[in-house]
Amino acid sequence: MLDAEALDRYFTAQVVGVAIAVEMGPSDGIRREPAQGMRLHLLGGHAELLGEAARSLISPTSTAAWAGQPRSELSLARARRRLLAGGSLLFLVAWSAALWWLFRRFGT
Amino acid sequence: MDTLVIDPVKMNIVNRVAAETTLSGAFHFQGGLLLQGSLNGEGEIAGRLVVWHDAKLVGRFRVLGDLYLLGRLGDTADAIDESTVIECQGTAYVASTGVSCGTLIAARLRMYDGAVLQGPFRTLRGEQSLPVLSPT
Repeated sequence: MLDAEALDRYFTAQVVGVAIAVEMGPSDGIRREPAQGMRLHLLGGHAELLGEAARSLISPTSTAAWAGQPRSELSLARARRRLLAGGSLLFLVAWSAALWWLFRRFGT
Repeated sequence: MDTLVIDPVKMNIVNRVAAETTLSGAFHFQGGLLLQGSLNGEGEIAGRLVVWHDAKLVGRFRVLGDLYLLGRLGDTADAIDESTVIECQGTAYVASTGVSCGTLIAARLRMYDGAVLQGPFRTLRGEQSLPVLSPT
């Protein structure tokens, strides 16, 4: 049976090309943020960046997670490191808490 | 330095005008377009438009998605090209290599350091814009 969607994907990849990364230019330092509501805006942007970092960790190709949205790779790598460090810390705390509970429950 | 990942399959960019190719006339592209050559005339791109380095877009076009400008809008070298009007219903990203000599109308604009905007820019008023209160 003919899978039209797979055929479309195949021809798109063959004719238009495969995923490619292009540099848009420097953006850090040229952003102008309004003073009012800046904190909320930055928090939103930070959460979005962390979400993309998380998606890029589980994505088969790390760049596919933010296709179409220009991103600073430096910021994304930093967010990914923070996410991994935070996750590891959370895991250690949970593991310690579980061990502590087990020793209290079944210990002498 | 910001990096844009262009994934044609994920971004539904199903059309391509190759480098060294010139098309003139009226066009309606169903889906996104990767423009690497020259496109003159008028029409609509029902998707995202990527104007590649050394590519040129001249005329009146409506883009129903985001516009990524790494090449040139308009036919003139430095002056304003009155005949080029590009309406983008999404975000217009103008890269550091991008040059716009025509009129650019977009819902949102994001420019990178080094981008050239010779022609005018107007904000597209969408349904989400705040209503204007009547003076009476």
